[in-house]
Amino acid sequence: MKALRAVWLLATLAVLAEGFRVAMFVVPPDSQQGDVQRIFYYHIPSWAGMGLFFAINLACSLIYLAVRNKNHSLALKADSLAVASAEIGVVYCLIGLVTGSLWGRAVWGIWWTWDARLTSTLVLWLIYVAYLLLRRFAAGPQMRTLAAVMAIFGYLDVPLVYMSTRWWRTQHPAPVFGGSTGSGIDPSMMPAVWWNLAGWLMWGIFVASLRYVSEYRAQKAEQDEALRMLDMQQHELSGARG
Amino acid sequence: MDMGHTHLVAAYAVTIGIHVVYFAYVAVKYRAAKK
Repeated sequence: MKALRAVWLLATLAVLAEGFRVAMFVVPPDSQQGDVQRIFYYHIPSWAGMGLFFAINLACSLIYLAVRNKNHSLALKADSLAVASAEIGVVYCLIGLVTGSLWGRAVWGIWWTWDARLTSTLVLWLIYVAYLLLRRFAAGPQMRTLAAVMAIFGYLDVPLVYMSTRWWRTQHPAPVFGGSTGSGIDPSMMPAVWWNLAGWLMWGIFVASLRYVSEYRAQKAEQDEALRMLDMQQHELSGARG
Repeated sequence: MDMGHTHLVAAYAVTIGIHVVYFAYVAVKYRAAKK
């Protein structure tokens, strides 16, 4: 597993380096925005990463709720992966918001506007930050169940974010991919999109896998300790009865 | 360097910076869980 992780990391760094080279030096600048449009190659992978990891968080939360009383081992794994994916999703969402703000300042002349896309994305980030805070500060057996329910409701904002530029008139541009006819970017720019998309998703998977392992071990140790205490109590009770 | 380039460099630095900070946090957690 360690060797696989090392190979994955090396491949990720190589893809990211190539992505940087292609994005900065190979693909042509945008005909209207010039070089500042190259922010796109970091902005888009952040949203793709956010979408992927929040979807994993949703799936894990549903699995946790479904099996928590039947299969403790699977529930533990699902809950650990839910935490790992929520954290990296929040990181990607934050990067998307900040790079978008920097890009907006250069192109629109403003750092922020309360349009439907930006506002719904900020709300999404806050929901998942609240999810992580709940997990960090709440205690007791119901915390994981509450967090899973919150994750399911929180995910409802994801389609809203995605559709916001289609449903409402926004300062944020119309969708580049999957938009109306005439949307999209010049094919000569696509290599920068693919390399960076691959590189940043590989990086996210690498970091999430490390975070999953640490969370799983911590939760397993906590669970084993709780079972040991329960066992001791039962032992003492049966001793007192005897 | 014009304003567009400043924003491009800032966006790239923010992307790398946030990932590095989060990776450091994950590495600390990973090492702690190994013990």
